[in-house]
Amino acid sequence: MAANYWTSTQRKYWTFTPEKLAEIRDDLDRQAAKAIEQHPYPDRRLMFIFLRDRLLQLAKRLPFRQQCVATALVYLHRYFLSTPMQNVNLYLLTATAFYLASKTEESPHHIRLVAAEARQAWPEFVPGDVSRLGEMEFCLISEMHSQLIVWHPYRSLIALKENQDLKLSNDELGLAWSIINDSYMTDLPLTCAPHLIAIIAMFLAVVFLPTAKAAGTLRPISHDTLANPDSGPFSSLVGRQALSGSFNAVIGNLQMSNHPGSQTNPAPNGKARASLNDSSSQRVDREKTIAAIKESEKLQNIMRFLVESGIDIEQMIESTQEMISLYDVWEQYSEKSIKDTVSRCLKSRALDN
Amino acid sequence: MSRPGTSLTIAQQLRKTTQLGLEEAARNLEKKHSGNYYTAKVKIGQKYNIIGFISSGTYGRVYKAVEKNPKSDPSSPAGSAAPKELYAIKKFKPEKEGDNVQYMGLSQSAIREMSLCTELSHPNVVHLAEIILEDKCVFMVFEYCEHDLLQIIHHHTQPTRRPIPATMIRSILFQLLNGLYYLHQNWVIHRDLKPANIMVTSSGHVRIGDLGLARLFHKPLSSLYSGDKVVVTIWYRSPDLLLGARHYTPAIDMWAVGCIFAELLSLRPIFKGEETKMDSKKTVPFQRNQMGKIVEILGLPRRENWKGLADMPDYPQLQSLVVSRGGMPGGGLYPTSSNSINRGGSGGSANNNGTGLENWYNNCLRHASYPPDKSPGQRGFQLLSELFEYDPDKRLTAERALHHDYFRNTDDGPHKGEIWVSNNCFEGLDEVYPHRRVSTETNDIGTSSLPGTKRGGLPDDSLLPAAKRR
Repeated sequence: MAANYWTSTQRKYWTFTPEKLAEIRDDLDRQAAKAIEQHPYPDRRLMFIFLRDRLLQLAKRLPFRQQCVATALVYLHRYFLSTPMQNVNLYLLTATAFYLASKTEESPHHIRLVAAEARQAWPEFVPGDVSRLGEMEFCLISEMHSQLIVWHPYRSLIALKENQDLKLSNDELGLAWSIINDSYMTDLPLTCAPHLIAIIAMFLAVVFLPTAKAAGTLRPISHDTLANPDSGPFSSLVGRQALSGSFNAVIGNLQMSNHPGSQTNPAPNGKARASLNDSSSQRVDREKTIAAIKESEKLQNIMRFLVESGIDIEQMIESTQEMISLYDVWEQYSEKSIKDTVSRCLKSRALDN
Repeated sequence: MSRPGTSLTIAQQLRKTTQLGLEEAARNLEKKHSGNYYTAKVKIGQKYNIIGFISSGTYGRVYKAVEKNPKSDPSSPAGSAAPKELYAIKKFKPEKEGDNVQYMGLSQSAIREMSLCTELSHPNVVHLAEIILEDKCVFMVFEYCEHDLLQIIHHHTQPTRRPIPATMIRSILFQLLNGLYYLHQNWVIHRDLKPANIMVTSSGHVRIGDLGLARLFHKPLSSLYSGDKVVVTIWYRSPDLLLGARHYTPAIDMWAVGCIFAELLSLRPIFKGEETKMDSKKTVPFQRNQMGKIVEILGLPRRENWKGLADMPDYPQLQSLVVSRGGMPGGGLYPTSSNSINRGGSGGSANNNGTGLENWYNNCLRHASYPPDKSPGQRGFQLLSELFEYDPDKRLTAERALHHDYFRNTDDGPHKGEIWVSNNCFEGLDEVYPHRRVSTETNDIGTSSLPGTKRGGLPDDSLLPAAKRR
């Protein structure tokens, strides 16, 4: 279990194929069709950016660890498999997920402290009664069948850092760490093994680094953060909008390595195919990147590592694509519009008390 | 099964607050679209009949229960059904008790036990059937275990002291180590091993229980110490913990195994120290008396044998222990747990490492008068002394302990010379152990938890008179 992801409840009960996930959500949406129709929420990923920011808002004054935020986000993902977002007070739920995750990650905060912080942050939506947070904890635990231990990619990334063949630089590790943080906005925590997410993040980081350097968006990473990254801020990838082109090139290259000698696109879902069908300027970018990959010894080593590690390349391509599309969708994020939508829903459905 | 008359009242007690559940249901009907309110999907009362009360502690109370037959047919004659499964239901008490129970947030201990027990699965670790959240309480439904080591040890002292058969001790120890190896392999330190927490089923299988203090130790983000200042019941607490270790390891569980082994042999706790209470400033005191009990038998720890000794936070305190014990050859200051042991001269003096334990062990075997072919023998002593290694880095690990010669089969037969231990600790024995005492008196349940039962090393159930323990 705890040392073995393969026998964990996460793998047994909380990892789904994208198809199964869609099926579960379709069923749920049908049950709550009316509420969803009345209060349509934007793309799930945008909602998760919003929820992540609420967690970070809460965490501003309470000492927290990145892994605690990550665990809370996974709890939310799991909860929304049985409860539509429109049926719950998202602020209360977020505070509860934070509170519960702080306990499972062994850096507990007192319920009163979390409740007070949440009340101060969102006085309109968080009831003053501490017991409401306690009751929501029951909802959360019950829907998750008391399966509270979550496996994260961070540990796998640290293991990759130790791998001498890969020779990852601190910049690459920092980027990969941020990409892992961003993966919690996607479905990856529900579809991928944590080590696969770590590998994807590493891969994207290595491809990314030259572009990030050129664009001057590389955030310097302090030595402290690398020594104990978990205590740092839950940072996201910076300069992501410029990078979609090279990302897509990467996908093409990955597919080639999966099907040597074949240029056809094996991606099974339309989504991946659609975004590969990119503009000519992106195509130039892609060719440049492919050339770079061929030249780069590091990328060659990584390719070899991927093939030798026996991971499911097909799944890796799909999931990498999902990460990239997150960064595309991110451009549409508007905190204010989500805040207003959520607020209208909570008020009209009397979920705000 | 117990008389239905009394058990009914207990069930009523347990479900006293289910009436509130009705109100809750009404409220949920009102807000039926809301994911903000909790309604139990499964109810204890629908699935289980409470037979009686087993024990209580800081965490809450444990009840014995039997599964109601879900497909029970009222027309079928009573008693014709297959035997129903027994369960031990652990009810975590809400922080405040009384009629006005509120959701106050679950304790760290409950969260740990719930999350670990849902992940763990091993024949020598207690089996969890399910967790039910109802009436603002958590109910953990475990497989019922008829015995525990405390009860078995106690049985062997009544009415006169009769040693526990050597084969039984060996089987218990092997199964205990096997479960512990699994826990440690999975980065779980139990942190509260003691006879009362080691369960034994009626078919002789050992199950490690009570994971309320257990936690993961893989790359902890803060030192383990910062979470819980005091772990492990005092008599089973290792010297590294007593000297204030911050980043302790699974070795603390192995020390406790040594203490349990010794207690199975002698039927008494080997290091029965007195706990120094935490003062009003909540600083953790040095457990001088407990450390003294260990030193008395094992001699003082030495820097040449324990590399990190001088770096231990409470090392200076150990120095003061030396001073206060100075000029007391033979360690006569403290009577040993068995007064009859003659420790003069040959060993056990404060500065003499190791020989004290051999004395203790040989005396123990002598008192038990094991038949020569059925004795724990010298290998037992070897194992015990490796478990009582002062340096936690050198202390035997669960994995190595499982390969110890002590577990090698000496009987003639196909498995002679192999590590071969029965997984039924009662195998080949006639002794009948009494069943777990189950109380059906309602006032046992009505009283709140027993006094002074704060978890984590402070006095617990095992310090109470035997009758109240089970």
